[in-house]
Amino acid sequence: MSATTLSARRGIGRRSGTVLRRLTANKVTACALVVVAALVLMAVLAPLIAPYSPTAVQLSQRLEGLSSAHPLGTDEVGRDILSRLVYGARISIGVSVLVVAAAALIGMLLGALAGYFRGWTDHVIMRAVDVVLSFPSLILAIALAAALGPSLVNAALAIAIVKIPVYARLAYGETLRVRQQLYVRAARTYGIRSWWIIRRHVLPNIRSSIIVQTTLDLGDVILLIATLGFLGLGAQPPSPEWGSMISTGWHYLIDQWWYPTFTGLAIFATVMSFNLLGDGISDLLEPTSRD
Amino acid sequence: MTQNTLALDVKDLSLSFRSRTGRVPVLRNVSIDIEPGEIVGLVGESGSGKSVMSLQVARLLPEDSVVVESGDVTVNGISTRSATLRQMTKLRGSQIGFIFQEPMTALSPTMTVGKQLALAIRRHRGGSRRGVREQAIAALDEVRIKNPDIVVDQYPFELSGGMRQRVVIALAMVGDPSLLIADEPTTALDVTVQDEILKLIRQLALDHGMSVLFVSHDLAVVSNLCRRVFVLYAGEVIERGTTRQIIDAPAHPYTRALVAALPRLDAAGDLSPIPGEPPDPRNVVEGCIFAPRCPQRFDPCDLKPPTMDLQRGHHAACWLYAREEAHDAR
Amino acid sequence: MPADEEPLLQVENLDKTFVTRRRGGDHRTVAADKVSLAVKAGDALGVVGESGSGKTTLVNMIMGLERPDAGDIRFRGRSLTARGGSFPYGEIQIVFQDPRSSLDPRMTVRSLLREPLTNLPKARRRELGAEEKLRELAGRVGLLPGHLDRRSHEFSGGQRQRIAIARALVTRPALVVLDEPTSALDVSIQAQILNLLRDLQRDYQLTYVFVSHNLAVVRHLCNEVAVLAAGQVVEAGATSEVFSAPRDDYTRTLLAAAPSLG
Repeated sequence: MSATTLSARRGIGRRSGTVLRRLTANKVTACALVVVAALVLMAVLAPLIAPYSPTAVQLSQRLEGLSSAHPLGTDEVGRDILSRLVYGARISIGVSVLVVAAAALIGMLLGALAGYFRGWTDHVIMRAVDVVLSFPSLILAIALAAALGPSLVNAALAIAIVKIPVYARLAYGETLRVRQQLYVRAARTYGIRSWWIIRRHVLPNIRSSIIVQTTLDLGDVILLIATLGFLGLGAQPPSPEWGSMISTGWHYLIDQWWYPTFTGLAIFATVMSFNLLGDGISDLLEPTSRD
Repeated sequence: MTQNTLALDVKDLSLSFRSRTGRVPVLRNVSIDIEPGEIVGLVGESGSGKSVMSLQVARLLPEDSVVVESGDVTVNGISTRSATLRQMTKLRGSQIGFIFQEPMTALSPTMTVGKQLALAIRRHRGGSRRGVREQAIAALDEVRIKNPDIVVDQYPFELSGGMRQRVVIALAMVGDPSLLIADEPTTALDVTVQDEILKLIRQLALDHGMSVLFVSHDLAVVSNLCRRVFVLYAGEVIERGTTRQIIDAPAHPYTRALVAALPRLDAAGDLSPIPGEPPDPRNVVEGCIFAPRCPQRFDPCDLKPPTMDLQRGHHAACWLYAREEAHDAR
Repeated sequence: MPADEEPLLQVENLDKTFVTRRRGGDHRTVAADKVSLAVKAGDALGVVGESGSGKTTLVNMIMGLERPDAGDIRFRGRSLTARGGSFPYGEIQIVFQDPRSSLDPRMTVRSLLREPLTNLPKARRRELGAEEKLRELAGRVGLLPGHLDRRSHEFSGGQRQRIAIARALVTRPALVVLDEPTSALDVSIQAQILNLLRDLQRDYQLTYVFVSHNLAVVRHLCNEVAVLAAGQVVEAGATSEVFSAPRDDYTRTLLAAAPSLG
């Protein structure tokens, strides 16, 4: 069918306008973008924003409610909750970005190798991917983190291992598509070696779908870190990681409601806005059919 | 339905697509008429809007992206512009049959040929299960499939391209439509298979008194099958006439160029290509749509040319003929 | 040309069978059955065949993408299929049918044109890939110098095919294999490309192997033709002779079925 007809089906004019303008066209995505930007800024500028040190213990001020000195109250050893939240953003956002980036890179490479070379490489890699994917991701992350020992690094590792197969499978499918393209066949007629073809033709052309997946995964990984932290398998005290804060905080829910509540809200707002932003970006890069 | 009702009457149809930058005109004042039982060709290259035209006859374009600026499409006297969705659904299949270029887009890969035919048969004719199966076999037989009793139980992926297209034709014929729209049905097929499918379409049209709108970029194929031809360029019908008129005495410079650009089997002379490319529908030029590429462009071409009568039934939208007419008038 | 001069490309008794394993027995497809062809320097050989004729496999074997089960392919007297034989990269180039898929959408035209030079010796690579040479080549196929910076997805089908042709010529090959290069193009653009191919053959002293299902196009461009069916060459000879006095039934069927004006 000609380009004319296809244009009708997709809506003409996608190329016009800057990325930002298109992104903010959707009100929801625009809000999400603002919140994410604010959170990232907060995380980066934590030492400048937080009124206190997140680990400063002040037993004389334990479990104090909202006040001008402590806008979000204090925890059971007198640490300022606001400061802890601000520094905690560094952990939540920072670690998840690292984890997603690592999982995406490793997964992309594995999937591309499996998809391009087929044969044994394909079997070995993709069957391992299948095995990992057959487990519910949360359960597997918990099991791995528990096996490796409770620490933030191990939690990050566990989550990365759980996420790699997602990218591997995505990259695999995309690689299968790309290697059918005539430009790959053309490259082979020039005598270009496989690894060169993967580097110059396969990886650049599967990149966008990988990126789309990362935007969708960020929110999920933030939640996973918090979950493992809550279970005591992630960041260890006195680290101001949000999940572990709730882990001790929820005991105080009735009388000192501010303690777990603000932390919970922080997690909720962060995950939500990252998810919505991810949705908006993925719609932009890969519009699905509008029903 | 009187004898005079046209099978298809596209009257002055102008159609645009909605886009972020505004409306993009895709069809401009297109008029096509098909008599009952007639096979008519719509010839155009990519970007001419021919597929849009064929889809619009059955209103198969997404309604929220398409704006009908003016004009109407009437099938057997029934206006499609004012028809409700329900009426359109009834129209499709019983009055309008459709075959596309790629048969696999019309056939479900998960159902046998017989099952798909049965669904259509039950919808249009009703009947018992055994009766339906027999009708399915008969339908396959009518499209000249060998061993229809075996094929009826096969899946589309087991069939060759030509056979799949025959199945699609059989499906389209189930409702005994009065108008068959064929959009490049043989482009993806081998030449020998193409020949057979074209003969089949002609035979079916004859047997059922069915009209055919044959849409194609291939002037040679159209010239072998169709009695009359409409030439579409960049959304406008720039010439129409009988096949003989168009082939032997093409009037519009575009049609002439199209005929001259076709490599011939009988001669190896030089091909005269048309310089440049078809215009972008987003930048509609004032005046004659072909003027930028026309070797015979002259002053009046800055204005849109009206459709000129050349001889009985042969019309071209070109100032070259107005000049002659103006001359005669003096 | 003396009668005993070695043809530029000699295909001799190629056999190729594909076996797909299925439940209930293997499925064998014969893609090539004793296929023999000779292409003299300066010729344009049309290879005509419908789907399943084996023309794609033949192209793949000539380009070194597949190995035949038996038989030989010789280019300038040297075997391409013998063990240890290396493919003469740069001397044989290919233009594919689908200009959308044959150009990497992320690469600039300049990078696309330079890609075939990757495997050539450094000096040659620098000489042929020089900016002025690329501009000259681009101009020769009807592109503008400014086009070198753009990416292929910004161009129309006809222009992309011009890029693909320029890319094939960048190594100054002796033989160009064209696999249905105009089948995906409009008639008016096809005419432009066919004329271009004709001119280029003359200007660059090229030899063509032109695969097509369109007999009229083959008639226009090729002085020799070979008709392929089910992996066999059923007829071969000068185009004017084969088309006016076909000896094989299948050739006759093809000619009769070919749509012609009027």
